[in-house]
Order: sequence, then structure tokens, then C-alpha cells
Amino acid sequence: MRNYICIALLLVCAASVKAQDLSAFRLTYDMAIPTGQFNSDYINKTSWRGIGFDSRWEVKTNVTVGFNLGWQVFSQRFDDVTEVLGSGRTTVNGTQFRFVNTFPMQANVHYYFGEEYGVRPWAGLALGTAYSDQRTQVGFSEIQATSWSFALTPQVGIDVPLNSDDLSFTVNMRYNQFFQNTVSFDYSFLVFSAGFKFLYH
Amino acid sequence: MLKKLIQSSSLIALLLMGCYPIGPEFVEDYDATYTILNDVNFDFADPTRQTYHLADTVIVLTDPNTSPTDIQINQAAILARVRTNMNQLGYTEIPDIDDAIDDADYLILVSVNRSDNYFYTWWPGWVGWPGWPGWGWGGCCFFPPTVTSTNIRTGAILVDLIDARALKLRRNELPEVWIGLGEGLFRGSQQNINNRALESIDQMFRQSPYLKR
Repeated sequence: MRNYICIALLLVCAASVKAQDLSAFRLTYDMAIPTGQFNSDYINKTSWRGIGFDSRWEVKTNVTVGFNLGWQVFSQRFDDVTEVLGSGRTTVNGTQFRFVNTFPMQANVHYYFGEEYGVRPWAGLALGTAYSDQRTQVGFSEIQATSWSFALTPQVGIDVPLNSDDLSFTVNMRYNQFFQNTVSFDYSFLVFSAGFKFLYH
Repeated sequence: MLKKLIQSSSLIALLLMGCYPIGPEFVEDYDATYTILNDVNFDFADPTRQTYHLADTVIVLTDPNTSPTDIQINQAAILARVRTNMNQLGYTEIPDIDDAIDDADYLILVSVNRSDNYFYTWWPGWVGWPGWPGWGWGGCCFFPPTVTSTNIRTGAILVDLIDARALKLRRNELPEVWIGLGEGLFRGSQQNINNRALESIDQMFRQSPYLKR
């Protein structure tokens, strides 16, 4: 965890901050679709509860480094589920309420296309960690698993300037892969984001 | 810039209502049935185990100091449902206790419980902002201390399968080999509570296919 923070700080400090259209922060609303084993084994319902914060600084022409923070809430109800627990001695049946709250914290690098102050498509990669809290509630019982995991997120997006010079509409799509060691499957999900980009001045 | 930040933050706060957006809506949503293999070395597949004796009384486990012990549950129906499930699995009942002492392979005990769980929350009261002139006792803004209590009343039904052969050996521990536990909110009409208890008994046996002869 400390290493990730150091890497993120180094990237930010190394940036020669320029007052151009790429040094900016973004606030986004995020929705997410579970994929892979996360989808097949635990939750397959789309999450409509997500938030993202992303700050980037231009370090050379068309290239930014920065960091991003997020929060995504997955939840789903399953009726009449029978599940064998732990060592196999205990079996439980009931209505299950499943939740996963994930909080990615990553350093990122992006490359931009298009003209300055114009429509800017971009692509990038974020690496870092994610804290996740998984809970399964049955009756009055709850099974909880928390983890810090390595988080890998390739992403693409586009910024569309609005009337104001320092405000853009931004949409992006990213694929989150959080490698788990406390539960039997990774958290993988596709995120669609929409929000605003505010330039640093 | 600050204004934009505040506007954006307010929007996001509205979008996110919490970490756990769903939960139980009906009384039945709290119902859960557990089965536990209490003795991992016990051989349920042993074909010589064919008989059982069902104790003719449902034991009430409720502590009389905390909850009423008159549970008003249909005990005859509960025993009948356990018997039906055991018979459907292929076992033969030995109703007479004297015969059962020698011949029964399993002894079955059924018990029920009602528990009143009280939770208290305490608000210490407030008499105004420290240092603010003119407020205090008798002033404009006295909020008295308050205690509120909530009772979460739960019920449980327990079916114990006891190895009757080991029982004869009179060891210190009860040779309990399988436990079925149904629990939920002790709420709803009497018929609703009885129906949920009976459904829970069926579920205990459904989720234990290894008991089948």
C-alpha cells in the first residue's frame, strides 16, 4: 500500500505542471457491469451506484500522469439459496443479500488525441490497489471478507469542451480487474462513466 | 472553483445513498435454515441404521427470565412434520420408548425457542452551544435526554439427531451427529409462524440428502 502511494506521489511531483487543457480533475458518476467469475459466482446485477475522482497533470505533450479514487457498490438479492459453508459441515438456506463495496486507489497515465481545447479522445492505464468489502447476509448472520488487492484498469474516454473554457463533459469506459486472495474469484467489472472535467488554473 | 466543487459534491451525495442499498423487506426474508454435521467421522451411509425414535415432547428452551415461555406453537404439527420427513427418507419409527432403548439407531429431540432481544439507544440531551450567550436550561433550545428501546423478537426450532447406539455407551458427551436449526423473526400470525416453522423443518431434510436410506 505504501509503495503505491509513493509511486503516485513521485509521478505527481515529477510532473511539470502546465496550464493547458490536460491538467485537470474529473468527477464522474459510474455504473458498472460485473464480468467473469464475479458475475457468474456472486453478483450479476448492474451497479448503478458509483463515483469517481481523477486528477491528472500534463507531463509532456499529450501525456498526463495522475491518480484516481473511486467507490462502486454492488448489491443483489437471491431468494431460496442453499450454500455449503467453509469446511462443508454447515449448510445454510435462506434469502441472501450480497454486497460488494470497492474503493480503487490508483496511479494512472494517459495519452490524448485531438487538438488542444478541442474534443480530446484519450486512452490510458491505471495501476494501484483497491480495498474491497464483501458481505453476504442470510437471516441474522453475515459473512464478511475484506481485502486489499492489486488493481489493474485499462481505459478509454473522450472529453468534450462545454461553453466555459475550463469545463468539459467527459465520458469513459474502463475495465477493472481487482486480483483477490481472500475470496475465490477476482472482482472484474466494466465501468461506464460520465461526468465533468475541470481544468487546473 | 470552490463553487463548482460544492455543486459537484452535492450531486454525487444524492447519487449515493449508502453502501448497503437493499435489505430484508418481509418477515420471511429473515428466515434461515442451518444444518450442521456435528460429528465429521459419523457414517450416515451405514445401511444398518434404519430406525429412529422421536421424543414425544417439544422442549421449550426459552429462558423464563427474559421471554414468555408460552410459545403457542403447534407442537403436534411440528413433531408430525419431523416424523413425515424421516419416514420419507426411508427410516422406520419405533414409537415405544422401551423398544427404542434397545433397537433405535437414532433418537430425535425437537426443541423451540423464543428470544426477546432488547436494544437501547441513549441520547444524552443538549442544552445549547458552549459559549453562546442566552442559551441553557430554560432557554430556547433544550433537548431532553431520551432513551429508546427496540425489541427484536426471534424464534428458533432445533432438531437434533442423536446416535442412539453411542448413547447406550454413556459417554460424557451427547452423541449429537446432526443438527437442524430454523430461525427467524417471531412475528406474524400464529398460523404464519407455524407454517414457517414447518417449512423450515422440510428444508432441513431437503438440504441433507446424505440422510436418505
